Amino acid sequence: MELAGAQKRAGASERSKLGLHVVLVAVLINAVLSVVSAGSQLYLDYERSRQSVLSGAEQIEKSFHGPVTDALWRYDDSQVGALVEGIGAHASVAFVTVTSTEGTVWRHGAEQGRQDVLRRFPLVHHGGPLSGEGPSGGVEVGVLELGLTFEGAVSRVWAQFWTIALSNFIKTCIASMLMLAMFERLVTRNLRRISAHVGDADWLRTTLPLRLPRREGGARDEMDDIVAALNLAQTRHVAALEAVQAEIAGHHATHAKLEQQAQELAFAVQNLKETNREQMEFSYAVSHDLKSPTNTMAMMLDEVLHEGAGVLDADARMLLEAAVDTLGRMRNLVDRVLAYSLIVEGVVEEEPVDLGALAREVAAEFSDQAEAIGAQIEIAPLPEVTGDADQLRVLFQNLIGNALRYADPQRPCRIAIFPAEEAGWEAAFTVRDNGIGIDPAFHRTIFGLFKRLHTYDEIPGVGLGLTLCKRVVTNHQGEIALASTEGEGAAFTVRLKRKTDG
Amino acid sequence: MKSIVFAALWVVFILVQPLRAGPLIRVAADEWPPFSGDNLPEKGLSLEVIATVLTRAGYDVQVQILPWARVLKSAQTGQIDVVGSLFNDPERAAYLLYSESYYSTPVHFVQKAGSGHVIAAPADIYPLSVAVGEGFLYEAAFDSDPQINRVVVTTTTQGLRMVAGGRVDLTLDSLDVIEYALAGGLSRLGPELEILPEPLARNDLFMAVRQDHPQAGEIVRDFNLVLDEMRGDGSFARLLAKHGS
Repeated sequence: MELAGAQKRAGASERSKLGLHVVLVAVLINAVLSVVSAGSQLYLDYERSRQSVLSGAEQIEKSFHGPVTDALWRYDDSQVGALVEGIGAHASVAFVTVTSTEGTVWRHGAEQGRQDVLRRFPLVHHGGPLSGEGPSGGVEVGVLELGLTFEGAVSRVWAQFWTIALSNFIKTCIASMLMLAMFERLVTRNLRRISAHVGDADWLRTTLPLRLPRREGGARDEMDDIVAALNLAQTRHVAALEAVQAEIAGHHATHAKLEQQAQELAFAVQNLKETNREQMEFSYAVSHDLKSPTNTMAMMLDEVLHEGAGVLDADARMLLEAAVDTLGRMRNLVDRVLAYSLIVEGVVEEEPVDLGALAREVAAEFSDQAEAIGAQIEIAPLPEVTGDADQLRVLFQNLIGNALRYADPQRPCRIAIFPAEEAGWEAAFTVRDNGIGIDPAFHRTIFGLFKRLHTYDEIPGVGLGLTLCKRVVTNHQGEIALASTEGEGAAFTVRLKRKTDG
Repeated sequence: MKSIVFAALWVVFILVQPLRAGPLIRVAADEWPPFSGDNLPEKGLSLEVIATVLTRAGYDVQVQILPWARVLKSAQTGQIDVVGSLFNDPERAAYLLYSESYYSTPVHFVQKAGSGHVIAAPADIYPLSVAVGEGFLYEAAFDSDPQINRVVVTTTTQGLRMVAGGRVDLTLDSLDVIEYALAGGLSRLGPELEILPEPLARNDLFMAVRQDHPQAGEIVRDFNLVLDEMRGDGSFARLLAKHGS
């Protein structure tokens, strides 16, 4: 409002600069055109006057030649003098002289030499009594000399010039003042009003339209079009502003809701973490507490078998051996659950890990098992990654262990570990085997807790290996993908540490 | 006392002079030296004679020189009262009342020296060109002869110069006028011109009063009377002698 007020005050006290510029340009253009037009006109007038002067000489000669010749012929000196005076009275005649053959001179006008054009006409009398025809067919009685001047033409042109200049000056002054006044009324006044309206800080917040002072039924012009466009823009802006405000309000509400949900989620996550931690602590505690009794029971059963070798019958021995085997399975399960409970905590000790070196270390651990089935493990150079070496070891242990365990007895086991496409990841590798493969129907479920596709008797196992692999990969902000077909081996591709943009 | 009365009488005498003067007579003639002309003594012989006679007759005379055509026109319109220095013409007698002749002058032809023209009869003139003054009267038969090849000029001087220049064969005028011209401004033409010895006519000079003047007859009568008186007492002869006549 203050700005608009200042603009209004400034507009009221200053002349219309735009109007002055327009008028100045118009005046300059008019001046140039007037000069060109007037110049052309004056030049043409001057040329016409010149021609008139020159043709006047012919007219004078035609009109006065006869009378002067006759007067000279009759020695009518007074008549000659009168005719010379008459010729000299002509406006364009600077001087005129008539010289008779006897040497008598009649002169009128300025001295010879000040003329612009000099014409000389011999005066020859033809016919009449005792004409005394000479060889030329007449009797020369004298000479008429006519000195013509363009002073009159020049004076007229200058007079015209000053008249045109003065009239154009007056006309221009009056027209300029009128134009300025009209421009002020038709344009500048309305522009100031528009400027004041637009300069108002609140103009885009209200729907109050701008109106120019117009008579009822008066003609519209481009100013009205500008005002209509401004009012339309104002209306649209207000509507858009309201829409944005509504959207912002909605976003605020959504944000508040999201915040609430985030809080709830954080609470739930915290709760879940707490629950997980309690579960894992419970699992650890149970598995840890179960480990000692199972070990004790296994020792006892071994002792019984060893000490009672001569006492126990075959059935008793078989039952005891089955019990020992079952305890072994239970110990294995407890170990696996214990290991899982440690890993599922998700704590990752960040350090640079050479995946290739780690894979070779793990493969060396399985050398006896590999040799036993004639398996070959090929490990290509793998990238380095920042992560938890222990967890990554568990990852390789389970992948290589599964590849050896699920080898196809019909063909030599071949295991290859090599780098994979790692665009967007810090490291990626694939563990491929030519084992029995996995039906694609089970590709998702096989990563579930305790999920197995074979019985323990078919292929021993607990069903936690791939769950552990997925947990380790998740702990390292990665993903694990399976590509396999039953009977054609399996390829597990691990990608670790997703790269963020920037 | 006497001086006062005497002075008073002089004042009265002076004041009544206009009352004592006679009626004003406006006399005009053309430029026709030696008879009349602006630069001539007393405006020429004719005008001095007329003025002297009329003044002696008791008139108040005003003299002026005008072109001949204007002299006649002015007499017809009443702008002048007396035409001086003219020959008698029956046509002009219709509006002018002539006085007695006061002078007689012969009219001679002038030819270019050595041209050998002999003018014995009017027919001798026919093959020749003659410069004649516009409105001038020379001789009744000559003036009315349609077979004469006339070249009209304004003044006798023009005619003489045209003859000297070989532009016309003859000119004519009063011998007084011719001799005056040849003795004056045209003296250089003297050897080139020849005055034919036999005059065409002898013309009398008159003064004439416009017929519609209320005192026309009285003026003419007074003129004639005074002229006779002046001839009788010799003053007229002395007057003429002043002008070389």
